[in-house]
Amino acid sequence: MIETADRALAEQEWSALMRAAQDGDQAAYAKLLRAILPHVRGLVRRRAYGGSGDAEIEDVVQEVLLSLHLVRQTYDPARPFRPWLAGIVRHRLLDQARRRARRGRHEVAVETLPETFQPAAANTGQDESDEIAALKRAMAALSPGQRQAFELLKVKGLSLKQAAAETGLSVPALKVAAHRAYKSLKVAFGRDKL
Amino acid sequence: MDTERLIAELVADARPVARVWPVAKRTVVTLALSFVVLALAVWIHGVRPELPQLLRDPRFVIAEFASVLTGIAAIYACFRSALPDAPRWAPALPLLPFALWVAMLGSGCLDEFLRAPDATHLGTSFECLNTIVLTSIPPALIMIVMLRRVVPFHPAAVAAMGALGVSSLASAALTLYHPLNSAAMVLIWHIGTILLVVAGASLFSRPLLRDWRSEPV
Repeated sequence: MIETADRALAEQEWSALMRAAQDGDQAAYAKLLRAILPHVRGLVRRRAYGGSGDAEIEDVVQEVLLSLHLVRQTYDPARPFRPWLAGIVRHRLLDQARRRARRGRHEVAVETLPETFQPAAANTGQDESDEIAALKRAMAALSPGQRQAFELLKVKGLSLKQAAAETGLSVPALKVAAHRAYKSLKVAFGRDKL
Repeated sequence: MDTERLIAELVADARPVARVWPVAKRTVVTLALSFVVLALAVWIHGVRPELPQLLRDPRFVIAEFASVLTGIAAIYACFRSALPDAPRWAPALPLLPFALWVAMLGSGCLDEFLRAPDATHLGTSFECLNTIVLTSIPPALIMIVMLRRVVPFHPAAVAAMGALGVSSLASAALTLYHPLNSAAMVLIWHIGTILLVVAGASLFSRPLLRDWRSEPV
């Protein structure tokens, strides 16, 4: 009984926070994302593909948060929040299942993974212009996910689909990661040269 | 990436967003536009002369009613199933009236064949195809605009239902002004066109339903 009352209270609170977040209230959005995190984690853990490790569970949780961000305009405050969130979780879990199936078909386990994007060591620091050094520093400051997305899409010029196939990430996750990387680099350079 | 850091980044990016219209509102707007376009088409062509007679045939009336119902249900299902919290039954909603419609046409075909097996005449009627496609375009465009910010998880299914909706309504209107008295011809040209439109829409669903404005890369 108490649990049902708690759920109803959480439902009301989450719905109100989401409504505020849609209106641009960043504090409400932060509160909402942190409040739903244990719930999302629990849902993913319960329903994820058998044998999913902690890292894989966390990847799906992050994808759920990214998807929620991308489709937040579709939440109707007149409708309950939980089913809307559960729908996003369900879709991201389906993606995970598809990725697993694809990996199972095409991949072979190896002991050590090659460093695909390890930059070639420069001969001397003097050979590099300040700009290249600054770019390298800015790239190094990115998170690994952002760096990978940026390199695949902007440096290697892959399409979102190709990059998604290469990384096993979803297209929205790649889009957001690349977008963040792009923004961070712009800020690092302090101009719109990119 | 650390989840806490991801949350911080998402929060930093949380600009105000305009909520998409509720499903009922979007359905009504699409139906209203379809009605205007199709009423105009009926008015331009004029209803077929034998229509009063046809309206006394229960099979014709049921088929016409089922085609309109398919259109309404498919448009609603399209908008509903584009949302994350879409119920699993949403895509099945238009299939019931669609099955009834095809069953009515199928039984008409069977009757025609049993009555006069040699007289069953099949020809071409590209006019049906052209008219259904043309009169489906305006409501389809408004649907695409209303779906643009929804970012559906299953674009192919959503596009297929939208296409089924607008083309079924177009077919229902066409039946009122285009004389095609053989059930077999209606089955081939109307249902055939609808299936083509549905296949095309689901094939091109990703470019059609892409949200260009929120494209971050």
